[in-house]
Amino acid sequence: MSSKAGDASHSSQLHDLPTDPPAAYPHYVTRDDENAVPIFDWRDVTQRNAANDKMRKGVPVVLRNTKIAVPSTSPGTPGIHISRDGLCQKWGDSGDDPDDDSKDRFQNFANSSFRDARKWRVLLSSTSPNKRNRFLPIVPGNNAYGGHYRVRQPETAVTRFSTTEFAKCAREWQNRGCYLEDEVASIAIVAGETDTVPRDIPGKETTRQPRQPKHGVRPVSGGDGLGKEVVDGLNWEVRVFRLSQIRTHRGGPITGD
Amino acid sequence: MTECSGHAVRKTLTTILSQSQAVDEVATLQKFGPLKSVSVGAGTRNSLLPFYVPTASGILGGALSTDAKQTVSGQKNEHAPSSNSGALDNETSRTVPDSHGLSVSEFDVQSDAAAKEAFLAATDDSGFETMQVQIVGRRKVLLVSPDQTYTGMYPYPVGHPLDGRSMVDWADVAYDRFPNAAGVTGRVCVLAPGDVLFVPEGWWRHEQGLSHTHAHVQLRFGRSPLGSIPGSGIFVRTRGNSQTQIPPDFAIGRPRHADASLFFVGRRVEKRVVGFEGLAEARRWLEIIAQDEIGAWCDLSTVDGARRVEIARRIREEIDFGLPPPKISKEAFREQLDTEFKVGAGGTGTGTLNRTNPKVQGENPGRSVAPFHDETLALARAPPRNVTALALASHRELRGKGRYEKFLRELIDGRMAPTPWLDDGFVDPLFVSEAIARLGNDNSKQGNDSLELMNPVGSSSLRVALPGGGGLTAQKKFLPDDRTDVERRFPEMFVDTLKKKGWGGTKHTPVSVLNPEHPQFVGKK
Repeated sequence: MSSKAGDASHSSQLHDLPTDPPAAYPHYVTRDDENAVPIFDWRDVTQRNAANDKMRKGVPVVLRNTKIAVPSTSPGTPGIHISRDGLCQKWGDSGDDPDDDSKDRFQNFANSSFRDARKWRVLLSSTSPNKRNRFLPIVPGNNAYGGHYRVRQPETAVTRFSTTEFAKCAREWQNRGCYLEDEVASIAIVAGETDTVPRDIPGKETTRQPRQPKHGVRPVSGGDGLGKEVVDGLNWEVRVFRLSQIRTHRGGPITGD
Repeated sequence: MTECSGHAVRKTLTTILSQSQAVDEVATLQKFGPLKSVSVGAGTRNSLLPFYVPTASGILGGALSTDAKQTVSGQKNEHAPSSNSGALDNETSRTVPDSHGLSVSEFDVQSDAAAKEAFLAATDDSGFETMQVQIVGRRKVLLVSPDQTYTGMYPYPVGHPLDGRSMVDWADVAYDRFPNAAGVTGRVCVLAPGDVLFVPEGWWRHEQGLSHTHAHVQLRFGRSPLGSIPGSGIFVRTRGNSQTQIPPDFAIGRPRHADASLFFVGRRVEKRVVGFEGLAEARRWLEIIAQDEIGAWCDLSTVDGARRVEIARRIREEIDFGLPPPKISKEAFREQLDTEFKVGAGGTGTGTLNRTNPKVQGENPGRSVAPFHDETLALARAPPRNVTALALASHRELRGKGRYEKFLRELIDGRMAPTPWLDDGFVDPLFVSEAIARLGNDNSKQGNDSLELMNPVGSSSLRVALPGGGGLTAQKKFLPDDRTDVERRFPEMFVDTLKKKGWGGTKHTPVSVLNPEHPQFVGKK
């Protein structure tokens, strides 16, 4: 079975470009990029099964064409299909080449900022030339004064930026790097929080509330911009999520592909 | 009465073996754990996240690691770029009173709650499986299996501020300090928009941005509440000294993969020792346990001594139970069964199962194989499913027992020592200001030349000469060169003296083969 899984994957397809920065690790680690993560086409049933088999065995895989972050149509209300923009389309600068430096970086990404009530965690690298692009945030709780492993001056600073600020820094900073990394959404763990559509009572006028998503994933507090874009921009009904136990959280079974 | 025959047992096991896909697999549910959180990562070209494994402490630290003063109302973010263009949001966040009545940012309070929630959801006994969905640009991700955690990755100790990250600078590996890094192998991929990378739990990841702009979304799946003996399908919950074994039928979620358990067993052992002995003493006690010298170091008649012996016992058991079995081929396992479950010389109807195992005894010369228990008689009578579970557990128990020595030596190899190189180039800001202040005072005095400016006016950085020699800049302190001529010519003869003075670069004495610190040392360490 495992041999079949191996056969179904694509061969090494790294697609390194001449403009790519050099690898930041010794070449023997990947045997000059010969050791590649297997790639599977999610549309192909054979490859999909092979990928599932690999994942069950705890082997990393790359899945292509999963339609997770592409435009999709979801049944928001029975009978009415709402077209949604996928996250790739929302943030992808309308198909602009992200390698083109002349384009405004993170333009669409930053547009979500005006709805955000909170700022997001951003790592700021050292200004030292050989550490300019490296991000090594520390765990502050372990860095007590006088501690056995005290790091007196962590090379990576941590702060909070709005997405607009982050985009501006990413565009303008030359001597220092910044990297946005934060939790934007989580599963709704409060019982009964999902599927709370009020039923119409005959003879009584009620206001129909928007249906809560079946997947139960919601943006974090204050993250109505970035968080909501991520939740809305991912297609939670693709088959790949059937592997998860989202449904144990009152989400109901996920059907369809 | 059912006839108990060694032949029957062997036949049953061989049949089951031929039906199973691999030795280390027992059929269990194959679902992911519940989705815990969704995070976003975005960076620029060549942004590098060196090797790391997401851990609970890292997540908690990440969510709480911003300085409170930067989001408290009334104070602006000092890292924010110039706002002359008006593009930045200068509004400070709303404030709410915290538990002490102080006015803090509303979202600091919420972040605190979210971090605690994430921490509770992600204890060290439950790792993460993640799916990284690439949204914008391209990113290169290098993955290394967790079975190389203590044989090449050199993770920072669990109590370290950089917990969950590799000590090795992989862009410029210091092989003299981390020799096993030369044996690490990994798998690489380049993610384009729309690609989904599945990263199993415990895998080391090394991420590098290739495009000028790249962003991805990471879906983090938790684990089922029960831990597992890797690959065996028998789940163990440890509460104090009690252990509960649950057959595979009751397994919830996916069993932890054998390779990943190496990582988590190591962390659990480390945390246990650190909890009892402290960060500074943890390495020494692990060394003592690895050498089976706990009896020599502890007096059982004292409370502390008895406690330490008990801790050592728990650690050995945690490793024995939690460590994955060595990877063996199907043929080797079949051969093992032949050796292990062969019919005794008596040839009677009940038969005797010979459990002598020269390989195991060879691995653990100091340990005797446990006598055969009555379960073995029930082995042949039991249904095939139980036969599988018991036999495979027995097989793994044999292979796993006594390997704590090797594992603990790997665990402390090159680790759990202070990390002074992280403070290279650090100068206490108070010291700098004090030196400058003294410089000003001393310059005002006529005729005092103990302090002087070392660089002329107009130089890029201020350099101050310190009294007694040496100098100081904003970035670095220079030592006074008080070496003698002999010390300069033959530094290897004065290693200790020079180290005390703060001179690096001389690591080994000329008689290297007799120096325990030298890589080519020939004696016993």
